[in-house]
Formats: sequence, C-alpha cells, structure tokens
Amino acid sequence: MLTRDYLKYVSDIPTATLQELMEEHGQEVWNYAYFLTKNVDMSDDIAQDVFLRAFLHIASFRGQSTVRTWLFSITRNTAINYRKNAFFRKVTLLEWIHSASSASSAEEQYMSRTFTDTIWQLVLKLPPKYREVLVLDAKYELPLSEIASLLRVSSGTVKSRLHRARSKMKEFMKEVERREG
Amino acid sequence: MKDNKPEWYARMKRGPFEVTKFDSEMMRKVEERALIDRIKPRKKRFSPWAAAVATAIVLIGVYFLVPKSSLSYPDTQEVGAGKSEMTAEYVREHLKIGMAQEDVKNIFGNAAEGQSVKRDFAQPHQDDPNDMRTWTAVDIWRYDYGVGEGYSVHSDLEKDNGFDMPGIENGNIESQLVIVWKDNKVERAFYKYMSSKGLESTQIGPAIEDFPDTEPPISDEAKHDSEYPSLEVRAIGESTLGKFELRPRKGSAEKIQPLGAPSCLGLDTDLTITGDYELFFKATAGGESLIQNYEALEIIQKENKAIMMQKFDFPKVELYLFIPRYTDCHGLEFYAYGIDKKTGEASAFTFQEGDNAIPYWTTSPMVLPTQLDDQLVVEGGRFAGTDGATRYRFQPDLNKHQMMLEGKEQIP
Repeated sequence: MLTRDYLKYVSDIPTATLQELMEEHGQEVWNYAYFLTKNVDMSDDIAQDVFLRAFLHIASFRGQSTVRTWLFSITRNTAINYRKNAFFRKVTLLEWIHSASSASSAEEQYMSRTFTDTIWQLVLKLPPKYREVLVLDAKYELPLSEIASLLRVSSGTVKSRLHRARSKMKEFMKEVERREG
Repeated sequence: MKDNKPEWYARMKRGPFEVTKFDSEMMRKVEERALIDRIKPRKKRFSPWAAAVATAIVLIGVYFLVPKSSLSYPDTQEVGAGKSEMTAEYVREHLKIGMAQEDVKNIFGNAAEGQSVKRDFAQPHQDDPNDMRTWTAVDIWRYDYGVGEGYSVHSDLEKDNGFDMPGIENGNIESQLVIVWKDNKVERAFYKYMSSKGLESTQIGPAIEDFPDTEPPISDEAKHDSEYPSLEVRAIGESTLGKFELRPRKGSAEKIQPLGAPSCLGLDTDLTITGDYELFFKATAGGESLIQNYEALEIIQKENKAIMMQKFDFPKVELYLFIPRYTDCHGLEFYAYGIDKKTGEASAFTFQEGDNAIPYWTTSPMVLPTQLDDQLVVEGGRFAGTDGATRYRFQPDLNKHQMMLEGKEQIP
C-alpha cells in the first residue's frame, strides 16, 4: 500500500493524486459505504462525494491518522448525513418493507451472488452498529483505538460491540450449519 | 483486551464483492466535479464581520454595475414555466448556511412559496437538529423549477418535507429547492431533481459545512466520568432467600456517559453504562456465590442508579430477569436467574431453542415478559417491515437450569 504522508503538508490535491487516491482506496470506501447503508446507489453517491470532499478539504488532513482512516471518517459522516436525510430514510424504509415482504429483493439476490464468500451474507444480517465494528476489525484490521476514534465512542463500547458482533456471527453460523445439516 | 480472533475472520479478508464497484466511470465523475470546483475561485474563511462587509461591498458594486434583470437567478419570470436552468451545482455554490432572506431573494428570486408548521408533541420532547420531523416549528421556502404547463404543485410538509415528490418523479416539475429557516437565517436546504439515474438529492446543511476533523475527538467520556460515579451495585434482585447483586468486576469501574443524541435507544440524557461485571448471590442463610461474569456489558438507563430485576414466582423457583437496557428500536436482551425455593440455591438460567442453550432472550421493549400460570410469556421484538411478532412461552426447568420453550405463536 502506498503511503501518502506528504498529503498532510498540502492544501491542494493534484488531479493525478486524486486519481491515485481513488484507485487505491476507491473500492474500500465504496465497500465501507455499502456496509453502512446496504444500498448500492447510495454507496455510489457516497463514495464519489467522499473523494470530492477529500479533494476540497485536503487542508484539514493533518496526518494524525492514516489516509484510509481519514477517508473512512469522511465516508462515515457522509453516510450519516444521507441517513439523517428524510429522503434516504424514506427510500430505505420502502426498500426494507419491499425486501421483507418478498423475502429478498432482486438487488439483494444479485449482490449476494457477487459475494466472494457466503460469510458476507451473515455479516450484512448483523445490526448496523455491530456490522460496522466487525468490518473495521476483521476486514480492515483497524486498531481498537482507531475504531473508537472513528466511531466516536469509547474503546469499551467498541469491545462490547465487537463481542456481541462475534457472538451473533457465531449464532448465525450455527444456524447455517443446522440448516445445511 | 485479550483478543483471540475467530478463525472465520480469514474469510473476511477478501471481498465482499468479486467485482469492482468503484469503477473508472465513477472516478471520471469525481474528477469532473473536482475540475469544476478547481476553476471556481477558492473559498476563504473570513470572520463574520469581514464576510458581511465583503458581501455588502460586492452587492453594492453589483447593484450599480450589473443590469437588474441579471441579479436574480434564475429570473423569476422563468420559474414556473418551461425548462429551468437551476442545477445542484448552482445551489451548492450560492446557497450558504446563515444567509438572510434578502440575500436568498437576491440570488434565487422572489418566487418562493412559504410554508410553516407548528407541532405539539404529546410527550416531553427535545428537537433533534438533524431530524426535521422532531422540530416543534418548521419554516420553509420552496422554489419550483421547470413546472409543466397547467400543473399545480402539491407539496406536503408533513410527509415529504415540503416537496412535491409525485410531481418531480412524474416529470411535472423539473426540480425543487426547499430552504429551511431558523431565526430568519438559512438553517439548511434540500434540492431534488430527476436525472438519468433517477431521483437525486443535494443537501446544504450543518453536516456538510462541518467537515469532519481529521482526528475526531474521543467522546466526552473523561469529562463525564466524574459527573457519574461508578456504582458498587448496578443491579439488584431481592428475595426472602437471598439477594442478587450485579457489581463491577473487582478493581474495575464502570464507564458512564450520556447517550448524547436522542434515538430509539433512548433520550440524549440517558446514560450508557459499560463495564465488566460479576453477578453474585448473597444467600439469606449465609454465604455468597458468583453466578455469572459479564464482559463489556452495555447498559442504558435513565438514571445512574441500581436496576431492580423483575421477579416472577413459579411453583419451584423464584425467577429474576435482568434487562440491561430499558428501551430499544426493536428488542431488549434479558437474562434469567433462578432460586431453588427448596434449597435456596441460585443459578443462571439459559433459554432452550432447539438443541441450543441461549444465554439470553429478546423481548419487545413495549411488552415486557409476563407470567401466566407456570409459564413465562415473552413477546419477541418487532422489526421494520415485518408483520407482527412471535410470542414465546417458557417454563423453568430447575434441574436443567433452563427455560424450556413450551410453545410459540405468531401475533399481529
């Protein structure tokens, strides 16, 4: 992975660097947005907004966290803004009702088929706050303190959520084993 | 934390998707938008006074130098008929938080529809600045762009935050801008329009302006720790046979902080209490035994005081339920403990589900567990989009230290 230490000294990202940032972190940012929203269109929008905001606000990056964590922080804030928006709530609620009433939506089925591993289906079944902390720990291997800082909660809360997330995953996996006999 | 990562973590290293979702097309769009921004004059942060003086100078200059008809954009004559020229970029560039109504009129014209509503909430209530539906008073202006010939706009403030969603979705209106006012200043705004991708939305608001710090501050935990002292006993279950006491693990203290923001997990003033705990039983006959350990338990309560366990009296056993949180969006986890009436011995009870023994069960936050004859009746949590819930009936089995599932039924 490339290091972007010099970014902390700049107030402007050259377009070439923006492209490099997107190539390096674009998919991670998109994935994180998807873990937060479970919505493909919203993740497309959020990921683009994140890099535009990074581009506009590079001066606020002071190099006290990694570029990836900084981008995650923007992703999280952007996703929260979308979620707080009444329109997003409405759209996702409708999708929820639709998906609940018809087992799983066409989009969900399509997305499931593109997973690298069936474990992701279980991860996405987790409640958002457990899902997020598990992904940051298991997938991105962020240190506990960095997760706490990103989520703006105490390390104890991260540990608690992680514990619960793992327990729930264990339950899900047992359930799968039982079903598959 | 002693952290033994589960072996299934390895399966999460790859993925979740086989294919790249953030593709070159998206990168191109970002670069385009970045380029547009680059050619605009860079924004500088001025003090409010400097900004006000600068704005006044610019406005006076513009007033004398530019023909009046080009002052407002789009020209009010264009609004309401034919294709509009309003764009999300223009809104983002020109509409700023804190603008006065006169400034907005100068830029966006006079053709705004004003709407306001005052709401009475039945229960004690606090406005959530991020959720307009919680506000006791809402005051908006709505601009309609590209309204089709003969179409009259039907907006719904309560349902769609002032937008005419069917109008936009059906193409009767090209776009709408809704500006939310507080104290006659722009508080936030939404701009909605249809594109080839479908309905698009742009928000101008505090959340956009307040760019996240590189190093987000850690929660105010340290600040609040002193305000909310750790208790010696966090939960109590009292019986003639003895007393359950949930205590922070020896040598550790609870971390207590306000929730900070209202949500279905509780009010902003509610307290999140976390810690490692031990549940002891002090027998009336003498002696104390450790019943259960809790790692990183999260409790949410209204006040910093001990929680009383719920008591149920069964023929052979006194049952105590410990519910760490008092409310939730969907369901509350709870733990069960029993005291053998004959011997006075206490133990943790698990819940039977098929061949599994589950350490806790989940109840609806609205309907807490009740006792019906020799059974504990638990109404399960309800989830958005689902029809009804499941009601479970458990019977305590003293020998197995387990709540045996006797039956369950779907309820509306």
